[in-house]
Amino acid sequence: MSEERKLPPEAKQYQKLHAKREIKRPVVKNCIKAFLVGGTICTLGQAITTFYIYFFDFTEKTAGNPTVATLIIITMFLTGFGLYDPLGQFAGAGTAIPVTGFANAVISSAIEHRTEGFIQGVGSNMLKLAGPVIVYGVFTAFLIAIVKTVVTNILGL
Amino acid sequence: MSKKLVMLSIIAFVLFGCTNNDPTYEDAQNADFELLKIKSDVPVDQQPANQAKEFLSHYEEVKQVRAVNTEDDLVIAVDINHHDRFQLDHLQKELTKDVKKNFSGMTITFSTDRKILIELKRLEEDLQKQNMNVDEINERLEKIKKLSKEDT
Repeated sequence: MSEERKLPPEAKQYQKLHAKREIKRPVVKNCIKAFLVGGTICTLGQAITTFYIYFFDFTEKTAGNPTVATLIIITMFLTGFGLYDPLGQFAGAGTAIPVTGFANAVISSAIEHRTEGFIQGVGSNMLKLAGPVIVYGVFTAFLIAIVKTVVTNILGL
Repeated sequence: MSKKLVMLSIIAFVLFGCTNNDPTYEDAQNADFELLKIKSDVPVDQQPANQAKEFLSHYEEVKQVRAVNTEDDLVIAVDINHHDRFQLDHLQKELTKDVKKNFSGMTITFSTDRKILIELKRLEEDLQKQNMNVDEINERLEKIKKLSKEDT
């Protein structure tokens, strides 16, 4: 708030105009789109899991790994053929939150930096977007593991 | 203020599902319960398995139960009702305890996994249909037990 007061009057006026003219984001519509597309991806994942449970020697516990691998391979092809981008534009978070979004982030940057060579280009840029996901994923898992240990072992709940 | 109230009620609603209810044993068997009793002319007597099925079918939370036994091994798989699956871990622990109390002479393998359920169903059907010998049954059951112990 204090920053706003320091602004010159012209800037304040501009901000008012900007707020008036700015197109409102259709939040509810975006949410519905994301829900439907993300839900479809998850239904596909569940179908793959069930397939692995019925036809291969995987249990409910272990079928998760091959399912993730299959989804990543499907996304790899969709990204390579340019089909995932329009889907991502349409659904937003619906395609970014499932593991397919992670795969897309890795693969698209690998494709983008291919011209810079395998080491300097692909190798160093592949995880540029996905790296933070890994870092904060591991960090959050660490924090939650500490909380769980405290709750179960020390408080005995 | 109202936002806070909404948040609070959402949290209360979510945490409400986390209370640990013990499995309820009813005197009457569940309605429309599919219970396949294995015939007695199989090479290994399936009396313990049939008893375990009978016992577990009295639990309100259990939707389906499959069981096969060998001389001293008893492998049981149950399907839990969908809305009771929120407490799957707790239910599994309690049900395992109850089963172990009732069948103290045998090694119990208890699972709520769909894969184990499917495999036991296939084994039960094969037992009914074909003449399997003891070694074959042991082998199949050993494989199922190994599957149930698998971890990621």
